[in-house]
Amino acid sequence: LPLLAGLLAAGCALSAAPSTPRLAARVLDATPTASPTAPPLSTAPLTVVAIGASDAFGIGTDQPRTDNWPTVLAGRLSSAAHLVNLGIPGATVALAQRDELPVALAAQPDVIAIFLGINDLDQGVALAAFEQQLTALLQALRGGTLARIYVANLPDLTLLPYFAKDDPLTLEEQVSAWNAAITRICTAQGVALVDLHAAWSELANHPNYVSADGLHPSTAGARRIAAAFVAAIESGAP
Amino acid sequence: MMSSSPAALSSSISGFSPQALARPLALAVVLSGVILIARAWRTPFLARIGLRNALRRRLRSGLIVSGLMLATMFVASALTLDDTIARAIQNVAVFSLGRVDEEVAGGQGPLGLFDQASTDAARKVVQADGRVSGVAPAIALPNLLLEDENTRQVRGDVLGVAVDPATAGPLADLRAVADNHSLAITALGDRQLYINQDTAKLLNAHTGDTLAVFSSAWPGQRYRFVVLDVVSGGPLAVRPSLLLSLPSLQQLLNIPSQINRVYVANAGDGLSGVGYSQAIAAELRAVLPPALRVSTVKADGVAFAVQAQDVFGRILALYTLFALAIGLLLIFLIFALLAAERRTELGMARAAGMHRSEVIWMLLFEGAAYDVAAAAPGLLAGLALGILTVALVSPTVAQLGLPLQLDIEPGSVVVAFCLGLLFTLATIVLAVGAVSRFTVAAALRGLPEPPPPAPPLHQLLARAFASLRPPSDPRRAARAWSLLAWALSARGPVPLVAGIWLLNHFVTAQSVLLMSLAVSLVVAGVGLLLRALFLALVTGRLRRALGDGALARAARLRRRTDRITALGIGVALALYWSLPFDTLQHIGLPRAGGGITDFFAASVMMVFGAVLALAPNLDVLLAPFQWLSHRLGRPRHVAYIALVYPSQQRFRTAVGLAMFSLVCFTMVVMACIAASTTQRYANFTAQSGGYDVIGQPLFKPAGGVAAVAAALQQAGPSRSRDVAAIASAAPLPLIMIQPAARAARWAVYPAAAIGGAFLDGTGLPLVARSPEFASDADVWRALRDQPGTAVIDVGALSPGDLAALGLDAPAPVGIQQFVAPPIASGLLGFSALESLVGRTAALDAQNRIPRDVRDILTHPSLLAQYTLQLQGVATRPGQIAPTIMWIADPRGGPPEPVRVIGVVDNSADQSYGLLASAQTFAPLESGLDAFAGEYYFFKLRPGADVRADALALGSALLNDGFETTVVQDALLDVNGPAVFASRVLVGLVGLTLLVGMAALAVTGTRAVVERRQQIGMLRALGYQRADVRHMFVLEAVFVAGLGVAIGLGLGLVLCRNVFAVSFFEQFQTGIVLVVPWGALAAICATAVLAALVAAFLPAHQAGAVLPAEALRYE
Repeated sequence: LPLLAGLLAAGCALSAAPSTPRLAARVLDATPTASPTAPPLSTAPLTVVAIGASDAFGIGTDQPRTDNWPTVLAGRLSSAAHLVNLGIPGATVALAQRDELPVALAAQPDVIAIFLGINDLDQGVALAAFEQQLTALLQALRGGTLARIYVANLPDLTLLPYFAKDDPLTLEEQVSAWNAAITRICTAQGVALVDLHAAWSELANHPNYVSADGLHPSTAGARRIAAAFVAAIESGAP
Repeated sequence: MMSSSPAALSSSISGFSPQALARPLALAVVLSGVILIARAWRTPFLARIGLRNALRRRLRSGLIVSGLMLATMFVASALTLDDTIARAIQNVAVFSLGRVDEEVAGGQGPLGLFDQASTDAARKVVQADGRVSGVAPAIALPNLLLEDENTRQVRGDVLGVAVDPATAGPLADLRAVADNHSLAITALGDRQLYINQDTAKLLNAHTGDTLAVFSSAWPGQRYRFVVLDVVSGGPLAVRPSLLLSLPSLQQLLNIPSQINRVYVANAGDGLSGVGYSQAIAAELRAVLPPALRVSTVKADGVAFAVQAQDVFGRILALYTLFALAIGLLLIFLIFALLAAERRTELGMARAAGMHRSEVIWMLLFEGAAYDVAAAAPGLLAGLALGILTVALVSPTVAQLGLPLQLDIEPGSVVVAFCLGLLFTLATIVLAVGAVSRFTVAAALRGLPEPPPPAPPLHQLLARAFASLRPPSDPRRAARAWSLLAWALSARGPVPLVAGIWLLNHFVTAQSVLLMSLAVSLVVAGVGLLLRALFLALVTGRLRRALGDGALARAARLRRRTDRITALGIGVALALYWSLPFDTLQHIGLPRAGGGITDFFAASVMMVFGAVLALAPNLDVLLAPFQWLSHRLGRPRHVAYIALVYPSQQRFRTAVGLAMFSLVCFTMVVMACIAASTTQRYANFTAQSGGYDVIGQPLFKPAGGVAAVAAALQQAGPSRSRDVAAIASAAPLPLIMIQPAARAARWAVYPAAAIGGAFLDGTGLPLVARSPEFASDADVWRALRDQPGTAVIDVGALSPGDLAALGLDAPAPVGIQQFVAPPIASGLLGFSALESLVGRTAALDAQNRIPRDVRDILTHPSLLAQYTLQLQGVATRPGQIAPTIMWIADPRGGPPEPVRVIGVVDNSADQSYGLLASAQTFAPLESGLDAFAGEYYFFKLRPGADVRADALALGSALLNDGFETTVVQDALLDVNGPAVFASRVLVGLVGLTLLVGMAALAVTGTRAVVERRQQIGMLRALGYQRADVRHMFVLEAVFVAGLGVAIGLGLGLVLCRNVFAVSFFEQFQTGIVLVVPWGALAAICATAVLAALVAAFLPAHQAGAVLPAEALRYE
C-alpha cells in the first residue's frame, strides 16, 4: 500500500506538471544546450533508480559526481528526487543482473531508467544471450517493483570515435539488430523505450557530446541522454 | 625552494637566504659604523658623554646589554636551528639515496635490459668530465625476497644491485659496518653477496649467514648466497639492499653483457654534487641512445625531501619573524625606559643649550656602545642555545637513525651578528627619536609631558604656505610643512586617503595582505577623523558657551575622546585581523592565501590592536581592582599605588604589554603547532593502534589468528609469552553504495576482513555507534557474532556528518590504503607479494578488477571523485543511525547488504576502511582469489623487547614465510624527518619560553631599578619594606596577567585561523589542530612567575635601601 501510494503520488506529481507535449518539445528543443539547472518537473518525492554502466557512473564528464546522466535526469524529474545510481563501469546486462538488480529491488523505486548494451556488444556477447538476459532483468524488475521502467536503446555507435576501428556498415547492422531486439523486449515486457538512437542522431553535428576518450558521453552528452529519458517519461509511455 | 646550485642546496628551509643577505647586511654595518665614527670625530664631547653614561652605571648597563643580547640571541638561535634542519633534511635525502647522482635506465623486457656496449660512448664522455667521480654499468633487481636460513627470518622488497667496479670510483667504495675497513666488490665470489645495514637489521643477519634469494626474475628457483660482510657506502642506499658480483648475476640471469642501469656519482661529498646534476644528465642524454632515459635521482630526491618538509620551513619562518618582532620590542622597551629615566638629565642638557639632534646623537653613541657590547655575546649565546636545542632533540632523533649533525652556515653567523647590530641600532634610532621629543620645563621639574599644541588646521595651512613666500627659509618651510603633514595624519585624512588609495591598488594587485593593510588604514583614518571633527565641534561650543573656563573641560574632553578613539580603533583592528582568513571569501573577495606573511601580519596587528585598545584605558580596567582595594585595610595604599603606576605610564606599559603579549602569543602558537605536528607524526601509539609488530606471510596464507597462535605455541611457550594479542586483516577491493543517500551511487573505499583482537576493538577505538548498542564492546560483539554488520572509519563520512559528530576529516584515501591493512595503512605494500609470485602473478589479482575501477584506484584525481561519502549517518555527537550499504567485489559475486553500526577513529590517518568479520565478506569473496595477502598484528606485553620478539615471531612462523616488521620502525621510515622537525618545534617552544622569560625578567628588573628614587620617596612617606615589595609584585602580576591573557586569547585565535584556512592541507599533511591545554597552562604560569621573580628580587633589594639614600640615588 505505501508503495502504491508513493507511486500514485509520483504519478500525480508528474501528471500535474505543465502540459506534456509543450514541455517535451521544450526539453527536446533545448537538449543540445540542455541545462541541469532547468527547473524540475515536480517537487514530489520520487525514487529514481538508474541501471547502467560507466556512462551512468559519470566517466567522461567534467564532474563525474554531478554531471552523470542519472543525476541530471533525477534533478529534472523532481526537486525531491532520491536517486540510486547503480551504474558500474564495464557493466553488461549480465553484470547488472548480478550486481545492480538486488540493490534496485531493495530501493523500491518509482522510476527505473536503464541504459545498457554497449559493453555487451563491445565484448561480443551473443544477441540471443543479450535478449535473454535483458528479458530476465526486466521481468525481475517488473515482478519486484511497481516502478515505471524506461529502457534506452543503443545510439548510433558508428558516430563514436572509439568504434572507428570497426567496419561502419557491419556495426550499423549490428546496432540495428540489437535495437530491434530491445524494442521487441520492451514491447513484450510493457516497458517504455527511450529511442536514444533517434535522439542521438544529431551526434554528427555535436562532437562535444562525446568525451576525449571517444566513447563516454561528455557533460553535454550526459545532459542529452537525460533529456531523452525526460522526453520519454513526459510522453506518458508506457 | 630548491635550485640546482650547491649554494642554494645548503640554504635555509625557512625561505630566508642568509648567504644572499650576508653581504648587504655587512655593508650596512660598516656604513653605520663609519657614520657613527665620523660624527664622533666631529662632536667628540657627545660621544664622550654617551660612552661615559654607558660605563658609569654598571648594573644598569649590564641589564641593558643583557636585554640587547637576548634580541641577537633570539635571531641567532632561530637561524642556527634553520640551518641544522635544512642540512638534516638534505642529509636524510642523501643518506637515503646513497652515492648515485644520475641513473641511466629504460631498456627492454621486464628487467629493462640494454647492451652494455651501447653506453660506452656516454660513459667515456662523463668519465672525462671533472665533475664526475665514478661511472658504473650495473644491474638493479628490485623486490627480492630473502630468507636467512640461519636466523630463520624472511624479508621482501629488498633491492639487489650489481655494479662493474672498474670505473666506479666512489660507487665501489664499500666499508665494513663493523670496523669501517675498505672492502672490494671484486672479492665477491659466485655465491657470495654483501648486505647493507638495513637488511642485516631486518633479517638479524651476520657475516657467514646463508641467504635464500627469491626473485620474479627466476620464478620457482631458490638461489643460496653466503653473506660476505655487512657494508655501507657504494651504490647501496638506506633501504634494504644487497650487492652481488655483476658477472655472477649476469650468469644467473643468463644475460651476458646486458645491464639495466648505468650509475653516475658526481664529485664532492655526496651532497654538493647535486648542484651540477642537471648538466651531467644533459651530457649523458646528448650521447645515449634515444630509448634510454637519464634520471637525476639524487637531485630529485633532495628536492622532494626539502619540499616534503616545506611546511616546517614555513613554521620556522613564522617563528623567526616572531623572534625578530619580540627582539624589536625588547630593544625599544629598554631604550624607552632608559630615556624616561634620563628625562631630567636630558632636560637639563637641553636647558643648557644642547640641540635635540645633539641629544639624539648622545643617546645614539650610548646605545651603539651597548649594541656593540651585546652583539658578539648575543650571537654566541644564540648559537649555544641553538646547539642546546639540537642536543635536546637529538636523543629522539637518534631513534630515527637519521644522520643529524649540527650545521651552522657562516652566512647565518654573519647575518645574525649584523642583523643583531643593525636591528638594535635602528630600534635605538626610533626609540631615541620618539623619547627625545619632550618639553624642557616639564622634564626639568619631573612633571608629566603636557599634550602637544594642536593649532587649528587653517593656521597650519596658512603657516605652510606663508613659509613658501620669499624670503624663504628652507628649514622653516620644512618644519611648517612637516607640522601640517603630521596634523593631517593625526587627524585622519592622510591614513584615510592612503587606505582608499591602497584599496584601489588592491583591486589590481589582488593582494589580500595589502587589502587588510588598507582596511586598517581606513579604520584608523575614520576613527581619527571622527575624533578630530568631534573635538573641533565640541571644543568650539564649549569656548563659546563658557569662555576661558572651558579650557579645563575641553582638556578633559579631549583626553576622554582620545581614549575612546584608541579603544575604537584598537578593537576594530584586533577584530578585523582576528577574522578567519577565509571570511573574505564569503563576501566575494579573494580568499587569503594563508601564507606566513599573512599569519605574521595578523599576529602583530591583533596584538597591536589589543594593546592600543587597552593601554590608554587601563584605569577603567583597573577600576574594579581599585574598588576592591578600597575595601582592604592598610594594603589598599599598596594596591592603589601598584595599580595607578601602569595606568599613568601608558606608553611604557603599552610597550611592555605588547612585548609580554607577543612572547606569550608566540609560545601559544608554537605550542599548538608543535602539539599538532607531534600528534600527527610522532603519536606512535595512536598510529599503530597499540600494536608492536606487523607480520605478513609471504609463502602461503597463515590461516587466521587461531592458526598463527597455535603455530606460535607449537614453536615454544617462549615465543608466545610476550604476545598479548593477535589481530588479522585482509584487504578487499570493494565497491559500495549507500542507497539511502540523496544521490546514491557506487563508490570505492578501502575495506578489510578483520579478525582476532581487532574484533574486540583493540586498536580500533570507536568515535560513534548506533544507539541500539549500549557500549563499544556491544558493537564489537555484534561484529563478531552477527554477519552482515560492519564499522567504517571517519574518512568515509561526508563533511556534514563530520560536523555533526564534531570530527575532523583525515587525509584523503590513496591507492596504498586499498592494498594495505587498516592499521599502519600506507606503510606496507604489495611489493613483498610481488617478489614471491612475480610481478605478473601479483598483478593478476588486481587485473581481475574491471579496468575502469582500476583506473579510479590508481588515479588520485579520479579517486577523489569516486571515494565513498556516507550521508545523513550522524545523528548527534557520538551517535549514528544504523546505515545499510550494499557492497560488491567487482571481481565477481553478487552484492550484499551490510549494516554499518559504528565509526572508527582515524585521527592518526592510519585506520581506513570498511571493517567487518570474514563471515560478513564470505558471500562476496566466495570463489575469488585473495586480493593482497593477509596481515597479522601482534601486541606485545609491556616491557617486551619489541625487536627481539619481532625476530622471534618471524622465526617461529618461517613455514609461512612470515615477514615481521616493528610498527614503529615502519612509521619512522615514512615520517622520520617530520618527527624530527616536530621535535625541533617542541624545542622551539622551550627556547621561546627561555628567551622570552629572560627578556621579561630583564625589563621587569629594569623597571624596578629605575624607580629606586620613587621607592625611597614611598619609604620616606611611611611605606614599609613589605609594602614596597607587595606593590611591585602586584603591579607585575597585573601587567603579566594581562599580557598572558592577550597572548593566550589571540594566539588561540590565530591557531584556529591557521587551521581554518587549511594552511597544512596544502602540504597534504593531514595535521589537525591540537590545543595542548596542559602545556599552555604551564606556559602561562611560567610567564607570570618569571615576571614575579623579576619584580620581586630587585624590589626586595630596593626596599632594603635607606630612604635617604634612595632619594639621593641618581
